[in-house]
Amino acid sequence: MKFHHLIAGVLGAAMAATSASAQDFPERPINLIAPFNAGGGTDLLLRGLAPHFAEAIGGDVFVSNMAGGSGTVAASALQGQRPDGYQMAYMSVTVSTIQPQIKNVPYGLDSWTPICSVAASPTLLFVSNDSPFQSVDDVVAAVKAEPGKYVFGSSGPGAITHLTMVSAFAGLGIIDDMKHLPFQGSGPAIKELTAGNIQFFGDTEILMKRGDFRPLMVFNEKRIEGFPDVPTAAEVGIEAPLNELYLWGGLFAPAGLEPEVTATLEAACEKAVASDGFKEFAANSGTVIKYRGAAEFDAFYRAQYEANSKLIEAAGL
Amino acid sequence: MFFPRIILILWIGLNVIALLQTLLKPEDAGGIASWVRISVVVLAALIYVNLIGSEGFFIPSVIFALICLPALGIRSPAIVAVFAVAVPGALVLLFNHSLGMPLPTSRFTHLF
Amino acid sequence: MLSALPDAIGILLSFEGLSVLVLGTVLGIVLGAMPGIGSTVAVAIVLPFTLTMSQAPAIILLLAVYAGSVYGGSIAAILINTPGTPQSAATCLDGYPMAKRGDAGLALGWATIASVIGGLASAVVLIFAAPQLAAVALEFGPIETFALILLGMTCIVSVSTGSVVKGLMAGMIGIFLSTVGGDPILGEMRFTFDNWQLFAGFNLLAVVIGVFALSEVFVRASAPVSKVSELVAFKGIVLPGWSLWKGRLRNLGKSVLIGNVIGVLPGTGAATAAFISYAEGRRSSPNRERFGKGEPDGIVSSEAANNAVTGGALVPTMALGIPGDAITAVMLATLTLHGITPGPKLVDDNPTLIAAIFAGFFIINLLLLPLGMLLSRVAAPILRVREAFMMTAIVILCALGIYFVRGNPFDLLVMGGAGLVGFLLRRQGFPMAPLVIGMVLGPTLELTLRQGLILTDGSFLAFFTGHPIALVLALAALLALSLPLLRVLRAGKTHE
Repeated sequence: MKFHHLIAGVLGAAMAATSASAQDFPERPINLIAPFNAGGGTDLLLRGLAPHFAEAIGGDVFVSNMAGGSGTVAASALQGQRPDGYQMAYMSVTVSTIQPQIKNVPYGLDSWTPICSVAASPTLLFVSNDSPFQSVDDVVAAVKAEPGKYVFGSSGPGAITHLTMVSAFAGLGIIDDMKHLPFQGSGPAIKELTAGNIQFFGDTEILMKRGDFRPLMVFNEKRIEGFPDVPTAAEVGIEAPLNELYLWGGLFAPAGLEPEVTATLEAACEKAVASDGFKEFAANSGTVIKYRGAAEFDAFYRAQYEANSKLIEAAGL
Repeated sequence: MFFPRIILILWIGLNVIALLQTLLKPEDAGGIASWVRISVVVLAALIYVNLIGSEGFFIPSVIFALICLPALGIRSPAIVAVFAVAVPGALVLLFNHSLGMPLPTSRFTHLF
Repeated sequence: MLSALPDAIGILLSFEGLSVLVLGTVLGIVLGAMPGIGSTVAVAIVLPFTLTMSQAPAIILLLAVYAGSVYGGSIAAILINTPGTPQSAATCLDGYPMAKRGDAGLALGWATIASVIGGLASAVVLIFAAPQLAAVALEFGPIETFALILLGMTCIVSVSTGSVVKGLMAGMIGIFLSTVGGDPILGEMRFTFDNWQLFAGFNLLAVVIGVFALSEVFVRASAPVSKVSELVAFKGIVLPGWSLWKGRLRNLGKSVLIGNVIGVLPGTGAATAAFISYAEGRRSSPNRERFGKGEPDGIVSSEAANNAVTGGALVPTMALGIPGDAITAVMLATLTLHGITPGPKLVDDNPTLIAAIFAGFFIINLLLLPLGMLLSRVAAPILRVREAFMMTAIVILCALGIYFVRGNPFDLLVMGGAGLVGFLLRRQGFPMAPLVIGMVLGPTLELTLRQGLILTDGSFLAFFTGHPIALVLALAALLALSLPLLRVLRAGKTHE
């Protein structure tokens, strides 16, 4: 008889522990997944955000890394998880809108509950400081004069660095006259740009600062503060949709999250992004903050998905 | 696909050489002391790693230790039980609750 | 930078500095000695703690754990034939036989001294030659790197204990396993059968731990279990006397050199250095006949090289802002999180910090000796437990360690499968070291080959006509392959 009571007691306690009522959220630590290795740009950003997020939501937050497939492994793993609000991934434009349209992955447009957008760092096309190119026109002329000679690098096939380059050169009409040399990550690419084995590379400002490089063009709606002389992709003559690839990223949870939980997470995200600590981190790391709430982000995400499908076609991916 | 193809061709070539070598000079693989024991350990290990993802880290570790220790020769049930609970328990306490790097938890409770 | 030295020493002697130096190294050694938990996981464990520290101690903590874990891996390699870290896989080859015949303390002594000297030498190189070496690193483009990796692959022949054909086959299996996943140039998926878990390929650490540690457990489970503890008798580290060093100094010097050079070149890591150094030792040491049976030169080659990599990897990191391997990538990230921009201007803009880091790294390597001796005395009783406890604990620890690499339970399945495959292969006489070499070097071999072909428009010949460094390395590889063959032929002739 006592045994029965014991079992009932244990079961009751277990059930009470697992029922996640919205007002008790969060009851256990929240997992922010970085789809890349520790030490990379995304991982850095999440680790900078995590403490402020934890404070804002009043619970424990930890960052875990699940690298692979340019971020698709983490996304594929997340889409199959229970939508309980304890797991979110920080995904960029490539992982969420481009990869599903060029690869056979188990997730798509409707797999997510977007929570908030955090950063939007524009990518710049840059060359080494001792390169003869001073403007995009120089580049076009040189490539047309000697097709097949010039090489652009990327941090991997399908990465944002690759796609911005392809969009740029396709928009300028010279993509077929250029060679593409992919690397494993931005680090080796930067080294080869310094060494001269590649002539062009595109990445965020903070990567560009690591060496002696000169920007020729920026992928953004308007010119950026740090480089007022650098023209945007549209100004240089690249037409839509190829000039509209911006690097943005935000937190996503699996689809089907309860609205109250979404609201709680969104509020915490807003507070964390607006916090002084995170703003300082962003200034240090050259991250451009761009916050959008859940609903706004959802609309933005869907619009981007649409727009990028046209871009993928135009770029020939 | 061309790189894997090169490797596979080289590998097939080596296989042919190895096959000829074995036919000309057969070797002995070394006896297995107890088929039962090795099968139990291998099966237990394989099932164990399969279960960690779905059942958490603690419970499968305990069960694995309960199976593996006697299989490898520990007779005393008390020692087996203590080890089987203490080692995974200590690890879970350390990682989940001190270091903040949670191991997978069971379906019953998020504590372990 | 010398002017900043007094301030740097001040930082190191503070409470934060001292605790990071000592505790970090201890933690590194302990974590490195536990099979399944490698350097990457060890660094990941301490990473969150660095966020609340000041700049210099944060980096020094990472360095201490890194250097400590590279040394710590040798402890498990020697005592239980399972490398604590992949970098110590070559140490098993001579370390464990030496331990089995009762010289475990001495084997660890060799490993400790070799690690300390390797690390110190790399610290000196780092401090005095970093910019010059960084310039050399820039000369190594894809084609040169390809030739170097080709040379590395020829090590497979040297570390194949037993049949060379089986060693080469194991190497091929390793290379083939590394091709699963995304094509590095085109991005299309190979051999994934639409399973998204394999988009990133088989996790390297999962396979290495599987074929070394897990298969070792299986191998022991298939042997008769003795009633007394099977583990080696071990009371503490015994440092080798000066007389034993005679004739072995040249090997030490070469291993340190190899480790430094390979550490500086991005794209290759400590495991590569350890294997290449071991192979070179096997080729040229006066004691080469005893390699594989417990020859100290084997331990020295492997451990001096893998610790020499730690300083070397910092060269491109500090001088160019380019990470030499995954661990230094984490260090660069930590610098950024603390508000410091890595890059060519890093050293000039932050003299105190850099001086503290360099001095700290030097001290860490010095600390390996006393801490190693202390910890081994503490660890000795642990080894007296019955083999059954140790083996069970190893499986559990490996599961824990591999889980933390990516937080992905699929890697555990890979580890299990690799363990089973490794066990079956070992029973048939296949050495596992070549498999690891194949898997470690395979991706870089393919990447650099195809990058090179893009640069030369498809001409493989142009690899060598336009690139003198690559030509030299390729010839060295050819030599490395043919010398053993020539030796065998010459021995055959003299018997006639």
